[in-house]
This record gives sequence, C-alpha cells and structure tokens, in this order.
Amino acid sequence: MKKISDERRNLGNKVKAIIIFILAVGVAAGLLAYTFSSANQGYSAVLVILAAILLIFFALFALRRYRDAVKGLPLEDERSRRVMEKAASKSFYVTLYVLLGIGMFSDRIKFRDVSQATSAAVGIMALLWFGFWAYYNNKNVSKLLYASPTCDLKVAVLRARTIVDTFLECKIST
Amino acid sequence: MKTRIKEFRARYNLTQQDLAKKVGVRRETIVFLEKGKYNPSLQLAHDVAKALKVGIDDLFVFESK
Repeated sequence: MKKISDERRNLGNKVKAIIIFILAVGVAAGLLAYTFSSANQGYSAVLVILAAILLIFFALFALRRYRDAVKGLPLEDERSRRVMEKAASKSFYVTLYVLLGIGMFSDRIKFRDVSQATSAAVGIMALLWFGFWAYYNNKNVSKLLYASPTCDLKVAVLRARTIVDTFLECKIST
Repeated sequence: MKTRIKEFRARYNLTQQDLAKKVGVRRETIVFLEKGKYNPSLQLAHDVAKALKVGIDDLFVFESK
C-alpha cells in the first residue's frame, strides 16, 4: 500500500477544511437569500433563526477543522466516522417518519409550493443530523455498524489470546 | 473498560494532542479513550499501545463478568 507523506496529508486536510468552509458559507448564504426573498410571506423569523444556527455551527466546525489541519492533526478518525455514521443513519430514519407524518397530515400542513416542501424536508434532515451528531459525539459510540466479533478488543483480551495472533487474524479477515 | 493511557502518557510528558498526533487520531478520541467512554478497534488500541511503548493488555483493563 502506497504510504502518503505527512506533508501531502496535511495539505490534503487543509484543502478539505477550506472546501468544508466554502460549502458551509454557500449553504448559509443560500438559506439567508431564500429567507429574505420570502420575507413578506410570514416565514422569515423561523428561517432566519435556522440560517443563523446553521451558519454558526458550520463556521465553528470548519474553523476548528482548519485549525486542526494547520496543526497536522487528522480531520477525521475512526471515532468521528462512527459518530457521523450513527448520526446520518438515525437522521435518515427519523426524517422518513417525519415525511410520512407530513404526508398523512398534508391537508393541515400547507406548503406554498413543492420547492418549499422539499426545502423543509432537507432542513429537517439537516437539523436532525446536527442534533444526533451532538448527542452521539458525547456518548460512547463503540459499537460499529458492521463489526466483526473476532476484531473486538474486549473479546480478544477477555479470551486471553495473544494480541499478536488476534491482530494478524483481523488483518487476514478484513 | 478502564484505561491507563493517562498514566503512561504522563510518563513520557505527552499532552493529549501530542499523543493524538503520534497515533494519527483526533484529540477528542484520546480524551474519550482516557475516560473509558470509547471502546477502540484493535488497530487503534495497537497504535496507541505502540506509541506509549506498552502492551495492549497493560493499557486497557476489562472487568470480567
């Protein structure tokens, strides 16, 4: 396997952090533009608050990632990937139920047009992802989505097998 | 699960950030490992043990049921 040098990895991480920041600013700017374009239709307060929350979250997230990249730290690791996976899967399932609920009560929940409905769905999913990410980031997320029992550290230690044998077995099986 | 990462880290005068950089993970991962709030993969456990020049079973203490 080709080994990437530290310099190239750091440069790659800095570029990723900058891209995240640009995307974050783009999303927030788009949301603000949409908010002020619909200012006369009575939805502006909610959307402004939503835009502000997303902007603050993304800006802090991107700034933190950029500072880490400058220090030579990785942008993500196994734990942060697990947190993202759990948050994404939970927000997806909950959004499905929310959309089902909106569909069932469509006569009471009025949307201006299709674009507003889809934007609301995307916004709900984004907020849910943020909430679940914040929850799982402070929780023990040890359980992998697809974990191999033979690679589990606790199993290996409790069975008192030699660590080298277990490590080699995991390397062969993955 | 309890860990002795903090103890071994202090032995080499390493900060959490230094250890994270050495292992190739984020600082938060080291924080959660030290608190025992994260059960690492075998690969990560091996990398942390290697960075602290100690065996995995010396670093991670499991209470057997």
